Amino acid sequence: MNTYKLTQEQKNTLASLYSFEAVHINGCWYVSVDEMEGNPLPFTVPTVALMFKVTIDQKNLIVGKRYARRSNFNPVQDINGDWFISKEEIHNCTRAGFEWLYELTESEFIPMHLPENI
Amino acid sequence: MKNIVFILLLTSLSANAQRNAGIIAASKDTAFTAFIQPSKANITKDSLLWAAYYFVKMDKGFDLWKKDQAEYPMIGGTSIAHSFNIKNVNQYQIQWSGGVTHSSTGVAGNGTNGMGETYWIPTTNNTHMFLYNRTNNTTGIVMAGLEIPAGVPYQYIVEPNLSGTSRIIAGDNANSVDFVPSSNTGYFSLSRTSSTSLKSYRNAVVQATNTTANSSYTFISSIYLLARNNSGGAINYSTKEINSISLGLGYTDTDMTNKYNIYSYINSILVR
Repeated sequence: MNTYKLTQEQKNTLASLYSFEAVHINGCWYVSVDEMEGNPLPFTVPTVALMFKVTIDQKNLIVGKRYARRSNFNPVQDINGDWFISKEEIHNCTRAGFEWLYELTESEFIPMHLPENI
Repeated sequence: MKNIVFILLLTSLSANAQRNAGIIAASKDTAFTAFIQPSKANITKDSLLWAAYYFVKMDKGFDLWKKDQAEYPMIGGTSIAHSFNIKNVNQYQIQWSGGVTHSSTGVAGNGTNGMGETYWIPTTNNTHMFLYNRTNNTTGIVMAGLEIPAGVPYQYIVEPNLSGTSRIIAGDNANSVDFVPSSNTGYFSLSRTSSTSLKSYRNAVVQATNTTANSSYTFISSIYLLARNNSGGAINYSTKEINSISLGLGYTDTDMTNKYNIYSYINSILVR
């Protein structure tokens, strides 16, 4: 999920203008870019992706496995080599035995492969 | 003239056909009946049945069918319905991976790990790639494969907006037909009908042509949706929403116009 990364002060300013849901992680607030579509921000803030971190063992449990019909988990590594999955995979997972996915927490994700114009 | 009469006939039938979905479902067209069956796309709603029926009949009526190899109208709103190739449900079924969102308007990537593998590989000098992009942003690439043989990038890309430019390539970088689109939404496509004829289109209007001789390099990677297949690994994940995917052999300008008209009509009745 692409989000705007806000300080507490920026979040308060934005809350005085619009209503929205925000996620609080390690002292920062994150607001979905999609949710803010059409609501111009009064300041410039970085856009970051939020994903759910998994351990290597957890990654090995799910990689290539089906989470919904014709849909497989696709764990990806961030720039630090840690593994992540998306909220779509968690929310749409209908399989028994994967309840532990709901215990995962969101954190910032910086992709290993940055967009490039080849 | 024959085509115009054909369009008018089928369009005039639409109202009745939607009221009589049972008749459509009883069609003897094997491609249509295979696609809608419960074990495949499982299409039951009248408007969706009509869309699938209209697509097959019109595609065949315009002789596009023989040039199409993988055709994903993306109707049904689910991962399974969107995975099937209506041309042949037993070929090129999309495998979705990571975070993608399916809805009545198509399939959208999440920009971090969501994509679809088509298993379809372009033919070097006889190829078309076509899609409808609903999202106005510059994140990622919606349809592409990339290989770097002998250090030279060789790729097939249809990307409505990559940093402000529609990036369209079928070959090495000398074989691009990029253009700056008037809008980032719409029907974007490429067609290569020979080693010296490559064109890009938006809404079936030619945007750029390239007559540079293409190499005879044989591509071996399949085309990914909502990301770029980098010799088997996905990069450049997109957040755009797409539908109306067509992959196959090279189209003429008339073919491209006919395909555009077919999907424009379908997407208008599906309100997307």
